[in-house]
Amino acid sequence: MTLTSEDSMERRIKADVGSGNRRPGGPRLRPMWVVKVGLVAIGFLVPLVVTGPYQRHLVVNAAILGIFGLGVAFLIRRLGMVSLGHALYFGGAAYAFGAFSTHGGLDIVPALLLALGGVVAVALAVGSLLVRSRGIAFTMLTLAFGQFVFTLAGLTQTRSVTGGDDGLPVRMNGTLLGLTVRDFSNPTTMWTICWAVVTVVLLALGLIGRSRFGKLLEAIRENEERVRFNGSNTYLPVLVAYVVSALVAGIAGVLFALYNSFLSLDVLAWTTSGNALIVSFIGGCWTATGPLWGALIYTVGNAMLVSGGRNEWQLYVGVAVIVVMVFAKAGVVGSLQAQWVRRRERRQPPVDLVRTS
Amino acid sequence: MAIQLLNALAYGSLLLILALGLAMIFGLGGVFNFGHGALYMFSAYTAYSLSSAVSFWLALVTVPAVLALVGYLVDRGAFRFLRSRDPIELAIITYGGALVVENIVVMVWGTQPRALDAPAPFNGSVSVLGDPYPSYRLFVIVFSLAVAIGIASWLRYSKMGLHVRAASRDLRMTAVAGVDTDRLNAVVAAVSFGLAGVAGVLVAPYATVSIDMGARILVIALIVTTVGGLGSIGGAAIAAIALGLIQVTGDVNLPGWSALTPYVVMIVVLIVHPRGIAGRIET
Repeated sequence: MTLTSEDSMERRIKADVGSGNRRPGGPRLRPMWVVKVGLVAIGFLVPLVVTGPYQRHLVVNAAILGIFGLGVAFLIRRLGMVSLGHALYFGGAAYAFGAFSTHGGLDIVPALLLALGGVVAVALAVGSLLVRSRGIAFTMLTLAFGQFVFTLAGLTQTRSVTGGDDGLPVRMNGTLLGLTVRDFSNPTTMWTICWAVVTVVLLALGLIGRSRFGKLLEAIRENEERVRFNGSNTYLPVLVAYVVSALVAGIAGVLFALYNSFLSLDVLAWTTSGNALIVSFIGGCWTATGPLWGALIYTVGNAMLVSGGRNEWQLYVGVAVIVVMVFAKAGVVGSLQAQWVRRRERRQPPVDLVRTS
Repeated sequence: MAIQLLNALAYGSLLLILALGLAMIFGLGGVFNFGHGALYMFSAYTAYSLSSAVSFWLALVTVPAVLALVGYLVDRGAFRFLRSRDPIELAIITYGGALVVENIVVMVWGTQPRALDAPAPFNGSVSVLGDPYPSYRLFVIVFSLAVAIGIASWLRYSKMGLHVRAASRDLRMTAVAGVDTDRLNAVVAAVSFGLAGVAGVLVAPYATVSIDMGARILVIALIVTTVGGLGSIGGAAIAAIALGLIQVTGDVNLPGWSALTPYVVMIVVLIVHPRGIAGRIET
């Protein structure tokens, strides 16, 4: 306990020193925003660079997995809570969307809204039971809830809804923003949609992180008892954060259903939750965009290494997870960022706030 | 009814062996070993090959022994240096390990499920209250309960067991009192790996050997460990047998839905006794 708070104290001091460097006057912050807006704009142009249809398919898959990872990483980054059950929301939203449009005959928009509304409702119910636990207990309970739904979806009794092991071909009716099924299965169109969603999700999660609510979450992560001692409720904020993270996973699930128009039980399996976790950790779940990069590395690596029927992908992933966790637990993006900060600090040593005070 | 009870006992005692292995590592370092299911599956495949080539009984002796040695070496060679890390990070490292082991099994044996006949003296059936019952299942019950009792008495009566129990309460204090906790951790890892080996070998002639068997049973064993209360072998035993009973009777009366019972049990326990579960796990 003392160890972690000392660590966090050091981190906070470092953060203060860092921001003190950047802060003078405000105008220096603006170039960063220009860069960010520029990156978002460049993102829409990715299909100009990535020209092959298969390559475009890969980046769309990476974007969907990345959004899913962003949802899972949000809980880790803000609260230090690792969920191994978010396939419940990813696959659940996908299946709900599929069932509402295929069996219910609903148009895309109402089916989508109902699916995401369902995710929020389920996340509230499940979360109200889960968020009292912390640490590994939380991880284990999320795993159990995820497996509950996975098992439920695979039962013969629910086969008429989920299609069981045969999978569920999704029949979509109507249009969304003038787009139809044909457009959604086109990787070029889907990339534009996914990138827009990535931008919105990044912006929303970033704003939440910077808000008072985000600070409260971090305070809970560092020392929940003290937050409670200060008079703040710690149950509700954690529940809200859990629902937000589930909603992001659900959005990724709906995108998955739109793009593939076919669902199999795999999307609910705990290995799907595990993949989201893996891309978050490989990319770096302590950074804003880490999960996206992790998803890109994962998807492209998978395509490059799995060829000719050889099945050694899991081996590479397993080794990569171990290596990253043991030697660079900040992830790829996190480690690069740390390196960059260190180099900049060496060039212009910060004012020694710690020792002079 | 007697048949159902025996089936429940057989399934429950296998779960118990697995849950014991999980709970022991967990109790000491707070690390949940996601590789446990993969080790169990690996042992089942090894038992399949050894039984076909030489003998099942050789597998029952050597596989757990070799796995125990591997556990000891992995702890001494790797986990010893990572002990200061957050338990959740270690859990994710074991998750990576599980992927590696699973892939190795796929590379060696392929993805096809395998089935193994019960070994020589137990390949028949005996009469239980007039109904025939496969004698191998009786052997599974007796053997795994014997192993569980052996582990329980080791923890209860040996000096090392005392140290393990003390370290599960407070690792640092135990080290201060002069116990070599590094060695203790390695021994516990060895026992835990060995137990996964025992369960894997025992299950090979009992159920189909397949790639996903490890991941499937891991979650159930996890539920047993949580519901029973960590560190309490008696609790785990009761939870394992009860879960086996609920599942087996459920299979008969509510086919299909019964697959959900472990999760329902866990959720109910969670609602009725939330602090109990979380509190026990976190310490």
